[in-house]
Amino acid sequence: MSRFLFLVLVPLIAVVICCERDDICLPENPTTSRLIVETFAQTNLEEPSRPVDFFVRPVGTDLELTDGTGSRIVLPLKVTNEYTDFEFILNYQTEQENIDKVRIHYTIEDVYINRACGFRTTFLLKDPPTTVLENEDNWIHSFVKKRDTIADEEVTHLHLIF
Amino acid sequence: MKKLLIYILYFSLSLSYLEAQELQESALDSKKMENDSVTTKFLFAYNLRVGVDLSRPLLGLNNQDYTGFELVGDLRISDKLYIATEIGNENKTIQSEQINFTTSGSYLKFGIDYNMYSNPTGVNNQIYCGFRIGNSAHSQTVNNYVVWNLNRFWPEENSTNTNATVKHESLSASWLEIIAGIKTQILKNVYMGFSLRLTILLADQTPQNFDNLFIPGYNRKTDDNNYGTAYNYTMSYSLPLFKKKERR
Repeated sequence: MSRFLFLVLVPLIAVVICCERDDICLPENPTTSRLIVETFAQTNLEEPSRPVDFFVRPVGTDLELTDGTGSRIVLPLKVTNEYTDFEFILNYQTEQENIDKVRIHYTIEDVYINRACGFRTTFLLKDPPTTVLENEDNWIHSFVKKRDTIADEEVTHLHLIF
Repeated sequence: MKKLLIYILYFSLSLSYLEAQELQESALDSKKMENDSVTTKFLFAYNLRVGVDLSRPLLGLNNQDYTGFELVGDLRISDKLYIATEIGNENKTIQSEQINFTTSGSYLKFGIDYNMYSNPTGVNNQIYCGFRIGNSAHSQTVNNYVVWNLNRFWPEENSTNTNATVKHESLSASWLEIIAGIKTQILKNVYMGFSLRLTILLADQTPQNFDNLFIPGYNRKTDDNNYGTAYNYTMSYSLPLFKKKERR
């Protein structure tokens, strides 16, 4: 009888153990992070402040950025490219509109998470992290790199000083 | 579907067990009669049995992403015990949730089978349980993947990263298998067999920045636990080496 039990149990245990859990990547897992920029006026480098009628437009798409409020801007970086371009606009849609086109430079590293999630991208800001593509009448004073590894959105990676 | 197949297997295994029990009883009766008249009988033969797994080549015929073969062998060393081995090679390309990868490599399994079925003289049928220690030497190649990104914004992020091909070589794994199976003679000296295996991963050398999502001989490795299943479906040929006799 015990032998019979064994023949029953092994396949049964095998079936129970191997019921595959659906491979769903849970949102708790780390994902590809975006670049966090905070804006500071030259006159007050302690407290972040938002430029007047400030607007950021990604270059190469008609989509608009949805996240980021006040002085905190959230920029999605391309995972297939080593740079991403944005237009930082002061006095947006007024007569004194001033557009600074900025290229953000970084290197890409894809990090393995697990079976369900696969890989996520982490970025490493280059030195210097930005170049201004149009050099006439820039309203942006400078960018200051605060954290070069972009692996989470908890910290600020870049300061924009105007 | 997979589950259903396993249930059918389990059902047929139990049936064959019951049938075997009946055979066993009738065999015992005939043995008693033999003992009365014959003074010399064969205890068992040192049988060497070699064969191939039929399931792997069949899977390969149907599936462009898979090729594999397995050679099996066992040697009867006592009335109940068999030394058994499997050696094989597998190449498998898998489209996982986000990743497309290829695993290729060879494996060797070695262990003991315990036969629970009492054969009439000269036959080598088995209803057995046993264990194996398995080892693989393999490589993992990441072909392409879609980057995991909850905040997908740029349209090109929807396409796969096809320039990502990375090959991780010289990987290995070792595992333990607990086996239940049957082998039945269908023609003289030709046996068909089936075994179901519960596998327990003992150790594996994982590639850097990737994982052994599939291991040749072991099958799928899961993130959640160290258990898996495997099976084989064999056809083998029995070569009697020499017979051990007992004098009365």
